[in-house]
Amino acid sequence: MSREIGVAVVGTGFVASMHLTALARLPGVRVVGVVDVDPGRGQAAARGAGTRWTSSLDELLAWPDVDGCIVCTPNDTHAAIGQSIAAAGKHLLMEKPLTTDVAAADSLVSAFSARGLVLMAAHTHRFADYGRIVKHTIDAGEIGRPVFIRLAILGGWIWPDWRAWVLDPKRSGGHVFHNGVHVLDLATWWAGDQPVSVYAQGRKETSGDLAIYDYLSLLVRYRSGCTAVCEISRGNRPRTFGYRDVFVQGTTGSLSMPWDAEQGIAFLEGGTSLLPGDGQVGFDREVAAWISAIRGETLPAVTGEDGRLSVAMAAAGEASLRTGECVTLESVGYTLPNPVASEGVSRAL
Amino acid sequence: MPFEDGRLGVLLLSFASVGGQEHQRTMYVPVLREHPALRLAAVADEASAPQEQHALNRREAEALGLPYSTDLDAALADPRVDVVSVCCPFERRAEVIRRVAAAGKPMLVDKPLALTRTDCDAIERTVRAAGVVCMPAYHFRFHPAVRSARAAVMGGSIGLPWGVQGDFIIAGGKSAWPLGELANFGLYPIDAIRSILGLEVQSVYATRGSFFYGGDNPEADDLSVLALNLEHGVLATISVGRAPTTGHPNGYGGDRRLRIMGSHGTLVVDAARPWIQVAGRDSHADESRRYYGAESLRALVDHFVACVRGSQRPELGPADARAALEVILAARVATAENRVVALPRLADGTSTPANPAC
Ligand SMILES: NC(=O)c1ccc[n+]([C@@H]2O[C@H](COP(=O)([O-])OP(=O)(O)OC[C@H]3O[C@@H](n4cnc5c(N)ncnc54)[C@H](O)[C@@H]3O)[C@@H](O)[C@H]2O)c1
Repeated sequence: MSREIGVAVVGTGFVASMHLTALARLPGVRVVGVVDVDPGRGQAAARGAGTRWTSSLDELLAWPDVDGCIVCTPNDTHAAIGQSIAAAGKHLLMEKPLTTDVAAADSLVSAFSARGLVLMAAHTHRFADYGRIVKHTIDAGEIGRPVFIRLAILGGWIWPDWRAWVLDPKRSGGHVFHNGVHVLDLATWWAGDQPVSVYAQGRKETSGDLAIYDYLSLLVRYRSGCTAVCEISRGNRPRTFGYRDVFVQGTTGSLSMPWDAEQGIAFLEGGTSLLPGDGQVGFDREVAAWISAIRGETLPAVTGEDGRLSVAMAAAGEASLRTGECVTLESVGYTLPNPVASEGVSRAL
Repeated sequence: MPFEDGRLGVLLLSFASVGGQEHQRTMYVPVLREHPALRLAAVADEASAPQEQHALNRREAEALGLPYSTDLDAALADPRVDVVSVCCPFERRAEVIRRVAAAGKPMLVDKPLALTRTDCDAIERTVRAAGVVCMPAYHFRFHPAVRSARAAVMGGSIGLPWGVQGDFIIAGGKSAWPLGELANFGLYPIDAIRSILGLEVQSVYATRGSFFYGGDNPEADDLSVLALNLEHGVLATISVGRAPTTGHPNGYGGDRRLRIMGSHGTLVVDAARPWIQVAGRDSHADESRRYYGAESLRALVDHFVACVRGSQRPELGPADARAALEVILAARVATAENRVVALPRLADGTSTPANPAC
């Protein structure tokens, strides 16, 4: 029987509840506490999970039974919180985006690899059924090498109101950082290729006063010549729109996943939509993969390097939106991973 | 002067193989021959065409039971010839069109209409001066799926459109077109998007490659991806090419889709529809979905006939070919130089503003 792993959750908002549910379902794992700067939310989450609460990250990190943390705070806080966790010698599952700039991602990845600690970036879509079946089909060689990927995740539900931190690019990094990384990471994982540049197009559909683009179309160029068009949107109409579209053209075949491929269709008075799927399953697998990496049973399914790469793609995308030009990852300060450092991580496991 | 039965007589002007594709025989004749308003009258070509071309034209004429003439002006002057289907090589096309226009005969022209701005402009000028209908066979805009999307957009059903995402990847064929599938097929989705939105493209970013058919011809691209910025900040991406996906359920038609997003709704359009799906013990995946809608080339010919008869005004002409050509030329530069390329002018001749995406 392997040792019990103690996990603390930092930030107890929307996504933390998915992680807490996942943790509760895992054998050999105990939630040893939560931290939130908002006492009401922190205490409620602690009560729900039957655990402790504190408003101080330092205090939480000083608790003896914490092996690792899942960070679920707003994006602009990730870098500093991540550094504290590394300094305390704890493993980390960091919600996406890993950080909101490339330099911070570099130093976070170094901090964890230098200490032989697991750093996993929470690119949840890799753990969803649809993400896995596409990856599996490509890796099985059924369509040859991907040369064109179209991945669109479109919605019409803008964040609740003007108080939402996501709408503030200083806090979220902009929409390419906030949700763009989901599609950028997934397409890149499917492509199995090194991205070279990003050309971004955006719209501010819900309001002309938005400081972020609620709709994004991100064209990624890969080293082998593959191209991906990744769309992410909260600006489509109707408001109830929920649309996912996957198409991959490979050198010997193609695969497609139409928008209604995953669920039954509900024709209701309020419009047409798909029946809801199980949104928890990806989080369950993600947390399980992280725990397994902490135990040294498997390598991290998503590495800090993967998170750093997504940050670089997001930085290139945001720069492209500002300049209207195609932006290389190199020009935003991205350097290819140091093979020795990555090896250090695997050895440490 | 139409035939006694009221049908318009068609002169088939050359059966040239353009980049290995014999469109007169494979595409146009089947549609023209079956059209209730048309009747094939004769085959002709310029006297100066190569001997092998004359030999081929003559064989095709014989197979169709039609007379063949190497005296083009005489053939054009024949009163039984009302309209012309032009399918000659690009090098001779502007001159041939000039002669057809001089004879005052309306014409359908194989696509792409021209490969260069110079030829495209020369064609536009001659046909405008002669006042004849010159319709490039950019038939995808007449596909019922594209037509219904255009009608919905024009009817305001999605409000103000702001984005389009499209794929146009044909499944099958032995090789890529020698001048590249971007030049061959790219015009279809570009023209369809212009037709649906009524907006011009202002700048282009693109990637382009030869992934499937190899060969040592760097121009023979088989898959390109274009990111377009149109007027009013409308954005679009299009994938375009030919892939060796011969087992595609849609058959040769492959993946031809458009998603049009607007301020009040979203349209998802698939040119494989309407389809019936058929499965049986011995059936193959290839073409298990069979299209049963109207043929887009036939719809283009219907429009052409109506324009010749004067009951409709041409909605498609050399200016549209020129607009698509500008996008394709810009996409080539964008790929070669890895940058966003502003188009030199709008349809009305004004210069383009800076990239509206930023
Ligand atoms: N993987 C996914 O699918 C997914 C989905 C949603 C959100 N996220 C990510 O999860 C993170 C949180 O998003 P959310 O939607 O749950 O946000 P949220 O606003 O619902 O919750 C954030 C919580 O963090 C707390 N907080 C803020 N600063 C803090 C600090 N310095 N220390 C401790 N607590 C702090 C807030 O009080 C709040 O309770 C973001 O990084 C977001 O990008 C990921």
